[in-house]
Amino acid sequence: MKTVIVAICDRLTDAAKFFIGGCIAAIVLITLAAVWQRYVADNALSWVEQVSNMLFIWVVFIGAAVLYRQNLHIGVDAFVMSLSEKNRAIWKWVIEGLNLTFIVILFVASTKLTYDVSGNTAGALDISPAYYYISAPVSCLMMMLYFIEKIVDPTKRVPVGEVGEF
Amino acid sequence: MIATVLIGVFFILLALSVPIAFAMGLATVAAIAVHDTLPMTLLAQRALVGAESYALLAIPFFILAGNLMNGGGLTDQIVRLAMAFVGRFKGGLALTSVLAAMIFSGLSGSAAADASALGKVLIPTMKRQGYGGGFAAALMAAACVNGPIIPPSIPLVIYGLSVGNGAPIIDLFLGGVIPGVLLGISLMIAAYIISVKRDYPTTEKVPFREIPSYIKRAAWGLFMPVIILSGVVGGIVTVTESATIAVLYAGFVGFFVYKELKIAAIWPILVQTAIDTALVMFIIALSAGFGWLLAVSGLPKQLGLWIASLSNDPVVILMIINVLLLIIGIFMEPLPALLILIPVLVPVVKAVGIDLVHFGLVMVFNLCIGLITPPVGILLYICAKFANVTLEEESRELTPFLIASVTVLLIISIFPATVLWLPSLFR
Repeated sequence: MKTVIVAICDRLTDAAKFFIGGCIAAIVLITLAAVWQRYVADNALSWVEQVSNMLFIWVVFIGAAVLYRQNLHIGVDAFVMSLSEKNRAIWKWVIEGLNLTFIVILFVASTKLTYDVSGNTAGALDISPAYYYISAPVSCLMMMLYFIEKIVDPTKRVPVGEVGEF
Repeated sequence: MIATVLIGVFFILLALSVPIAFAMGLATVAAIAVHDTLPMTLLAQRALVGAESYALLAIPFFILAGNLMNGGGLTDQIVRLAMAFVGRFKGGLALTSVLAAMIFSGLSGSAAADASALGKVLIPTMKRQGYGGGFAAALMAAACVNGPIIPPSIPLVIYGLSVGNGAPIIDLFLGGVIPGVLLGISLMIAAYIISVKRDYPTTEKVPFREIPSYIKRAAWGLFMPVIILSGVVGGIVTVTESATIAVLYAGFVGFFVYKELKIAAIWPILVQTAIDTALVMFIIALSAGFGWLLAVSGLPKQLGLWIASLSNDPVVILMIINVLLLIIGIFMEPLPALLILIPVLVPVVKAVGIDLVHFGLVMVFNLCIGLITPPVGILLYICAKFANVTLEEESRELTPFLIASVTVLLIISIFPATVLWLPSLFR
């Protein structure tokens, strides 16, 4: 069971990283193309802003799920560090419980919102905002799976990698 | 009631070590729950709309440009150039660290990225030359506060987008140049005095006639802030577009000029940029609902009236806000503090006639000092790791640099021209 869940999470995270890295590359290329078209070819591309925004929102929410798996979301850890090792382990589960509460609420709220706007269309491409709003429930589902992984595999409860802070 | 729940829940969760983004989200959930009429979908709607802005794309582009420059072999050239200028003086390597951090700030926009890139090279070298580990770490940390002050700057982009028309991002970028230079000079003075007292060594004395060759080698990097600023100042491109051009430029320099950037390195850099972006943007997205509810609660207005009752002198108001921000900066990272406090403080300063570009720089500068104050000063942790010293050893050496930083904060608060003069030249 544990092996299966970890293997699924590994594959999912690899796919998520591939996806968000690709989105960043695509956003850069699209924006460069837009600059070229506007200033050199004198033919502005109307869809650039909408597509870039859509890819960007997917990066933010799928990236947030990857950060959750790698325990890299930033916080003030002075309190948790002041606890004994045993109490720290207990408290980390309290925090995980609070995180999960938020993830479930965001999942319900964002799913309803996505459904509500699915019939609307907007922007230069005249597409539904649901195409990017759905990134939030997908992200929440990934985080729920990662939560289960943390339960079954203790090694997934420590930070992995580094992120820049600004 | 909404404001009490919002702020109360947020700070309790934050103090209990809940990650910032989740603490903001849960506080928003609690405030919506106590409100009679607001639907819970507001949480998702505000978060998604909060991340949906073309201008915000400047953030991943600046992160990517910095990461490409980092991987492209520029760090060594910048350190050599800085050393050629100031290495000849007493405590030459300490002065080099500050100057290199100033130059590097023009490339990355992130204090932590600067500290990682430069600290790795300069702190162990300082230690080998006889500088105290605590001193080396504290100085490097303080020098890297300049990252978000000298343009480009991610916190200034966020401030400009949050405030809107009153604070154009290009004015904020230009406004950061003089405060950044002042911070660099004040840190160099402090480092020099300490170096003379402790008899720290000089490094190689590069003859003045050779300095142009050092400038030439680092010129590709030095040109980066010029590229970012000139297009926007000239009204040719937007900040987002100039950030994309910076990415293209950084890639070109890394691949074809310094030739240290390899194709194989691009993919990890793109993924890292996406993850770094998500870290910042997830907080920004969830702060949108938080900020909206804060505005609905009427707290900013009440706070504004209270501060206005204390004084209507802009300098006094700025000093009161400075004290408040310095205290908050001890406990909070600059980014979430900015996002929470902008909707609260901007109406207050606007009401007493303080320029919003001036205030933006004061606010960002002030909160960035929090990057070098325990317990959450991230730069302290990064630099202590490179110096292999404890946080206590590093903190003991920090006082002169903190005094220097706060002095510059006071100068830019009292004299708005230090911020506003440069942007005024380009209007």
